Amino acid sequence: MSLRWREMRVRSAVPPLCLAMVFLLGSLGCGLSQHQLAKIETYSPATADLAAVSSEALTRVRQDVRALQAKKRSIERLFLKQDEAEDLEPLSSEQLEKRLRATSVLRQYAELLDALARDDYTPRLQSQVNTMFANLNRIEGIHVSESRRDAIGALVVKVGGLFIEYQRAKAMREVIAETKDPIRSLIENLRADFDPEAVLWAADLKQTKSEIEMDLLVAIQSLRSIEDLHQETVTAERRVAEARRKAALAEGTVQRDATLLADANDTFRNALRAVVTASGGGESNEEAMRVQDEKLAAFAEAKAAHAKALEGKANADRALAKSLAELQSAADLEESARAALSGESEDVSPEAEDLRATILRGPELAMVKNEYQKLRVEAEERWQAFLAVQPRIQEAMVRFTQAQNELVRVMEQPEFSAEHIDAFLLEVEQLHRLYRAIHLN
Amino acid sequence: MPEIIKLATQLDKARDHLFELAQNTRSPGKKAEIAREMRRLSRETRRLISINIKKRGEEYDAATSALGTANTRLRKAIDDSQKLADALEQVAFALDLVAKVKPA
Repeated sequence: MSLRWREMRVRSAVPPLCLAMVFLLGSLGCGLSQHQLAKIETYSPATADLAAVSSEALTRVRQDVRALQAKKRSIERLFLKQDEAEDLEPLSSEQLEKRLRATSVLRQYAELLDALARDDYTPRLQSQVNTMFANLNRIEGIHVSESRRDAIGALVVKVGGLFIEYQRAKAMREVIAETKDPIRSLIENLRADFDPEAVLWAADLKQTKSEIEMDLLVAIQSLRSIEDLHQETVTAERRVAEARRKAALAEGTVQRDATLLADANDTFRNALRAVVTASGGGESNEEAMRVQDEKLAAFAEAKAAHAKALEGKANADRALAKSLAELQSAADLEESARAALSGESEDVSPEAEDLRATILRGPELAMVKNEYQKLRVEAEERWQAFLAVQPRIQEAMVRFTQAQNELVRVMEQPEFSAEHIDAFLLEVEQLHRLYRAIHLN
Repeated sequence: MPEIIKLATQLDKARDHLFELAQNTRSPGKKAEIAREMRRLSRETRRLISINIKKRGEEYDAATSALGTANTRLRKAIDDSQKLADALEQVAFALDLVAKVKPA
């Protein structure tokens, strides 16, 4: 719509007597545009969705952590000393309540915005105007014709409606501007709480899962039955056998290389003698020198190979010594355990007491390990279930953020935009028609 | 937020490292030491999670409070749209009373 056309419309629509109404409209400002109302309409479902998804996920993560922790503690009680099990609950009911309250208030906010935007005040006003005129006509000496009454009633409803529209738009613009930063903060916090990489809400589930894995590992390593100890001895024996085989191989290499070195040494000496014999003999002397150089190089090579073989032998010997020590340690442990079980042990050291206590609880151990293994599977499943919900949470957040940004953007538009001015002119025309209708009647 | 993620990554690395050590160590003494370190790391991580969650809880409270104020304002705006109809109702009521008064 061109500016000139608008001017013509203003001139034709606003006769002098209607200037007061134009002034009234101008001072009140404009209501919300259809575009703005449409954005409010899409905002509410996006907010409700985010509130529902996030509050469900927050509650679920806490339930998962509590369930896993409870099972973990019940297993810990079987083999840990009481003071080792620490009770720390980051996902407290108080903290959950804070988060649920925030999402709930956000949902209410969207619902109220929607309710205010949808509020249809016209039937209420019209009904009261009708009652008012009906009562007026009952007063003796006063009579307002039906057509005049309708025209005045329509004007009252129109002007009243404009006032309500103005108040509604003003409240919405101010509230949306004021809540922009708190909502951004709320969303950032929700996003962080669900981020598996941050040390926040979801991290506690991840942490619980890791603790269970760690407990299982510690349990497997520390809670050993006599069969486990025997198995460790057998494994250590296998390692010793393997180390012995490697040491024997290294020894063989050393022997072979020593023979080669001795041969190279002899050959070099013979070459050296040939040089002495041929000295002063022209060409034969040169040939003897060449052979001597050749044998010297072969000798150096054999010496290097021998040194390397000796180093390999030393390494193999060290590995064998280590394996033998481990075998000794495993065998001693197994022997101590057997002695402890049979009651023949004379060792009264704390380590021996611990071992005795551990071994005597042998039947429990298989059960504890089994429980830990089951719990580890459960923890993994719960964690994977949380990760599976992640895209849904992200989707709700993206949808809400878009709706929020759009709402803020359209509400920050100038109050007297082209759309507003067109609506304003329409209102002026309608007021003028109503005003004329009163005078004609 | 980036600092928290960086810290979480470092904690993960430390945990993985201890895990690997625990799996590859045969010495009972070393195993016990690693298990102690793992427990200490778990305890500290959980404390850190707890501190962060409480800190964020305060930010949630602030947002809740601001949105609560906004909601009160919106409820008032909804009530205000009713006020004009109420005013007209009162005028109608007054006219009704006037109509009931018979002239002397």
